[in-house]
Amino acid sequence: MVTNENKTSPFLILAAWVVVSIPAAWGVYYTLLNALKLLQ
Amino acid sequence: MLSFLDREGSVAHPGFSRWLVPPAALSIHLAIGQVYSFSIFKNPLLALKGADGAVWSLKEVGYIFSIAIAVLGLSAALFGRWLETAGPRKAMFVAATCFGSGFLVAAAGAATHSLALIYLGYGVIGGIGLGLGYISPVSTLIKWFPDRPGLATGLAIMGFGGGAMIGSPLGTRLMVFYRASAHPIAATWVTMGLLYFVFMMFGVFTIRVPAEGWKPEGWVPKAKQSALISTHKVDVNAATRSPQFWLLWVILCMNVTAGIGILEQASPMIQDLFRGRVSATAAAGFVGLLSLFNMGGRFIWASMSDFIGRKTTYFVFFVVGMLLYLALPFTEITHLNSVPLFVLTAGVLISMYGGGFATIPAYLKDLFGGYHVSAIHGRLLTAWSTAGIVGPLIVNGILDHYVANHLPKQQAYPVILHIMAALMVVGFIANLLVRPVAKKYWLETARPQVQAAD
Repeated sequence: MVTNENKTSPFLILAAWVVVSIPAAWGVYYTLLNALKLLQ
Repeated sequence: MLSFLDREGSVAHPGFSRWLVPPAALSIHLAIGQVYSFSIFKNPLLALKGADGAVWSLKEVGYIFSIAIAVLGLSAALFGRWLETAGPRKAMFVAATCFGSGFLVAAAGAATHSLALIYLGYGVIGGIGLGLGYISPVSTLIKWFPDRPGLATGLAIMGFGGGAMIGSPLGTRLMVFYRASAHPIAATWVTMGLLYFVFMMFGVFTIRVPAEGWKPEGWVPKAKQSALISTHKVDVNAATRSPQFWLLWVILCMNVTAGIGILEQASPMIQDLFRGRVSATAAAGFVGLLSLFNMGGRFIWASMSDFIGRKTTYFVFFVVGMLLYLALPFTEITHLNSVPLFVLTAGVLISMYGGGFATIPAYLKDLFGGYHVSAIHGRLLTAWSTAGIVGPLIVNGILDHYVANHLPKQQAYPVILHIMAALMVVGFIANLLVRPVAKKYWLETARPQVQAAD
């Protein structure tokens, strides 16, 4: 049976992940910088 | 607007991708995880002076975080059942409102030098936002990912670990940005409250609950699966009367108490155990590295539990954890003298601490079904609140004893770590005793795990 489904655009999914990934990546970057002090 | 927030108003249309749900959950957890970075405000708050020149003590400032965590546990336990009927969108909206407005009330407290307002704002109002926000996406994620509940909840709860990594540099940079203003802390908190509210609203608008009977395309529940995976639903009140709930409470409490023992003392511990070899700066790097292990462990261990099972995952935590807690003192300067080995061992332990948090919702879902899993999870979080008190009490109590008796502080750590190993044994036994939930707790006699799709 063919259903009239309005499939979510892959771009919308990507955009949603970008919204949360950018601040998370920023936080991880700063933490990594901090962690590198262990090698000093 | 109000109907938009209702459960009925957030039912997904056919064709909606479930991969939009984890980012919605992450936006909430990445925001509320800020609470773990609250310590960056301690010194600026201690430096604040009232109109009469009065200053706050470290103890008084320390209560802000303690109140927030205590209210987190309480609100998660109290409002979990409401959440199940109101739906995740309304709960996330209330969480965003409380968490955001909590900052604003606390900012008023910082500007007027009123500690009571800060307790009310960041501690109580913000704490309710923390508790509701923490549990709100859990059951929704489990319903969207019946095939991978560990992965789904691991993703969200990983966000809570990551929240501190955002909150710390954000708060620090904002305080620098507002340093010339009359009230830098107040201005920072107003900005953070508004930013976090907007960020959390992204989750409110994105979250959807699956339509009744929805299941992943092509997914068929396994005909034969572990006896621990329930095909029945259990009400939150019945669940808390069952021995399984209390066994999981002990499991979470032991795992968290032991982990907090390391996290709380991470910086002084590495400096004491490797005196002269590890500087305060390097110790700060060690703390940063532990937070990465904490975050990564949440995702990796919870995802892995989908394949090896929840009970086996906790067996690994408790057996490996016990061995590593016993081994950790041998890495210190008078034995193996290996900083890398100490860091790696502590990192693995902290990954299992985070993994314990992230795997517990899926364990609850296995035992009690997905019906009230957020509410049950909310009540189980009282184990976290308990561990938050017991863990530091053990560590600080022993350290204080050594210092008071003029004994070398380094000698206290093996004692502390051996106690943590003993806690792992208690957790191991509790996990061993977990059995399928008895029929008398089921809400109805039989129910297929997932209803057939239309």
